[in-house]
Amino acid sequence: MILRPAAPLFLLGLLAACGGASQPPVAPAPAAQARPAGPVLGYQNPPATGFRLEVDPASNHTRRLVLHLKGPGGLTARGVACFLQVDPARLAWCPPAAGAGLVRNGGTWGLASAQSALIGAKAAQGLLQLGVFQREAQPIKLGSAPLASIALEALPEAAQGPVEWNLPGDRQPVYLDGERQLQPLTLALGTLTVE
Amino acid sequence: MSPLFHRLLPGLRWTVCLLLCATAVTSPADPGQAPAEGPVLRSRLSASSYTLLPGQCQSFLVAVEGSGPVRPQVRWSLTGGGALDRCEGEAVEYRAPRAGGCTAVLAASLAGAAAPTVSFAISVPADPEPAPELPPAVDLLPLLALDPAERDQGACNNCYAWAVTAALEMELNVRYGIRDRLSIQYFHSIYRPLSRTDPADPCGANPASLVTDLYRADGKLVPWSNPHAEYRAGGYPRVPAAGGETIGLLPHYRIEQLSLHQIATHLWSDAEIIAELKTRLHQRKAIIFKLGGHYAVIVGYDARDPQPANHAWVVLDSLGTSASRPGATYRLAMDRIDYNHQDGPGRFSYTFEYIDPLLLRLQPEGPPASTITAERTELEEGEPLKLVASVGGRPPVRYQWLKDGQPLAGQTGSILRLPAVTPADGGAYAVQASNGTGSAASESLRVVVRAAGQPANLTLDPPAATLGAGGSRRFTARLTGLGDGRVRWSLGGAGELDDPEANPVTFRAGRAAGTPVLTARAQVDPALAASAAITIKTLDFNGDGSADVLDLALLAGAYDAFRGDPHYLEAADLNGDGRVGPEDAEAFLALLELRP
Repeated sequence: MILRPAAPLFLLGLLAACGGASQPPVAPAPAAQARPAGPVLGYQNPPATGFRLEVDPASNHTRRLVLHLKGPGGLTARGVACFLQVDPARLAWCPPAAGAGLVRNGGTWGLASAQSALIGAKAAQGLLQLGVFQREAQPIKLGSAPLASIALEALPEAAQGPVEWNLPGDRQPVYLDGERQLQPLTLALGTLTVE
Repeated sequence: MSPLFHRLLPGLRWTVCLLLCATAVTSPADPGQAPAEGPVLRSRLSASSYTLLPGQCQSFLVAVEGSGPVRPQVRWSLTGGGALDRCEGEAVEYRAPRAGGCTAVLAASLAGAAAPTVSFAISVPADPEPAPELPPAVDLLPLLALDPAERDQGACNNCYAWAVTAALEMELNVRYGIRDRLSIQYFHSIYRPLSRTDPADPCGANPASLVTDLYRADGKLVPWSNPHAEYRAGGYPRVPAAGGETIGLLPHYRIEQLSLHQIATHLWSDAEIIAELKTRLHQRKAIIFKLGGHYAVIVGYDARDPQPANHAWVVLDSLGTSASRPGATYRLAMDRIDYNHQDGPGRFSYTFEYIDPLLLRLQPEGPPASTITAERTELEEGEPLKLVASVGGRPPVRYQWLKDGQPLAGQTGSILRLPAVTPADGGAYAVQASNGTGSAASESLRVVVRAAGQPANLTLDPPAATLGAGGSRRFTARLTGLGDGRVRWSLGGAGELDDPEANPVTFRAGRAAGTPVLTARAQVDPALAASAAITIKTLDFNGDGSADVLDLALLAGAYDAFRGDPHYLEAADLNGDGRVGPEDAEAFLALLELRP
């Protein structure tokens, strides 16, 4: 394996970012690039219906896995809130893109910035809570574009194999419909593996 | 000539009496009226010779026996030194001369008798302690803390009280070294008639002894340093207690013994009386001097002039000052007084008394403890301020008033008076009380002065606030009309303040919902206050026990909405402005640290 001279520093910076501190630039992992040292994450998408998490293909099988939250096309909704729990001993929630927080606005609700939408996210002990809502008065019909993006990072000592992750039972995900009423949703998760 | 001297016309009664006695002794008897056997005069005393001390008085008595229906008159004659109080009757009083060193024969006879039938031999040895050599002048006035202008009884006939009180002040100085002023008003406050003949009020004429009797019964001398001790002419009956003008009992002097001693003058010659008075003055005894119906105090004499006609008493009066009475004193020529003049039988026109003894029980040494009282401490500009010190401890007491810890120039009385206050007079007042053994300051008393036409006002900005749990809000107090804009904050309910004396102050809410009340009080006038009601809202809008993104979903549902669930519309309105908007959203995200 050939490592670029800057690779160790890059890895340290990534670890620090997963700890919630400063957020160094995250370089995209080119597919053609050699497999990085340490564990990587693989993800298999769930069925493409309803609310779901789909992988950003470019990030699959890399250390930082970017997942896009998508909704059923044609549904009028003003936002969504959900909780995701992973094993904190193996995985950590990370910014999906350079300069982003734990959640990146997909642009469906407001512009693709945190300020134009109501976006909230916080991770602790492997539990990520996220909410993305529109500020504008007129409700939006969902399309195929991501509603929001999140990312996971495998910890260096993470054991390989399938990852158990779920939606906490006491934290029912919801979406805000066109009439500003909260509606329960079913969020489909794909298969996650530490490789 | 002063009207006073019209009352001092020489009374010759005593002189005439002596002449008559001499005539009785030396006139030849009428043989036709002398009974061959008739009434007999006998001594009622056991001895016929007596040795008396210089100045001593002694009564001599005889009895007429065997008289018929008409009782013959007994006449006395005296040869040698001394004096008699009368020359007729069965009893006389003899006074030995003050200088002593002489003999005398006192004889009694029946009217018409040729020879005395009873005689007494009197011997008066010389005084073993010769009279001191008197200085040419004595001035006791420096013993007094005298303010001549205030020594004015006005329309009140209480000269007797002024005279005795002045003598007490001098005795206080002589005996205890305490130069202090005593309160006439206090005497008024304890006045009561002691006999049926005493006037109902202290402004009636009274004998000097009534003053000492009442002081002794009360057991206290109250100094002028008592806040209410100033005498006010015509101030009787005293001002009721509700007016705050009753005399406090602190400070005071506790009386153990107090008596008034009268100088017996009625058997003395004028020269002897003058010598006696001079001697007492030399002994630093002020003489309470009654001239007819008026009391004054002889505080000295001036006999420096070679001419005795120019010798004078220095008399301290209580009739204020005038051209003839500068410094409340005047000179009274010694030889213009008939010292034994009587207005009637036994009613001497002039009396001379002095304080003896005065024995006090002084308080233990130590600094005086003082407190301040005031009828009002919240004033409008232009109103008068009156602060009164009450001091315990050993008098005399001196005062120094302080404002905000600094001495106030000229404010050294027991009462601080400012006739018309300005807002700058507001502040913390205290009094530093000192006596000969220490000094101590009272606790301070806050005085508030509001500017004229501008009532003091205290408002808060914002006047009320609503915020999310864990949030903070800055409050500003706006205080006007007091000249001092400082406030002190207090909090009723949960939460924290960054600095209770800062303005503005930052309030930090706790994590729970609540309705604390934030109050600001003016530091110079804590009664002036303003409060802000604070509503702390929970961020757990759905009440599931956790504030999280599900509550963010509810906030988003209410965001900029005019319709919807009223509960969430109200709950998510974290700043209480009537709508759920960006400020609420930002506050929610910040408080929950949900910013992505």
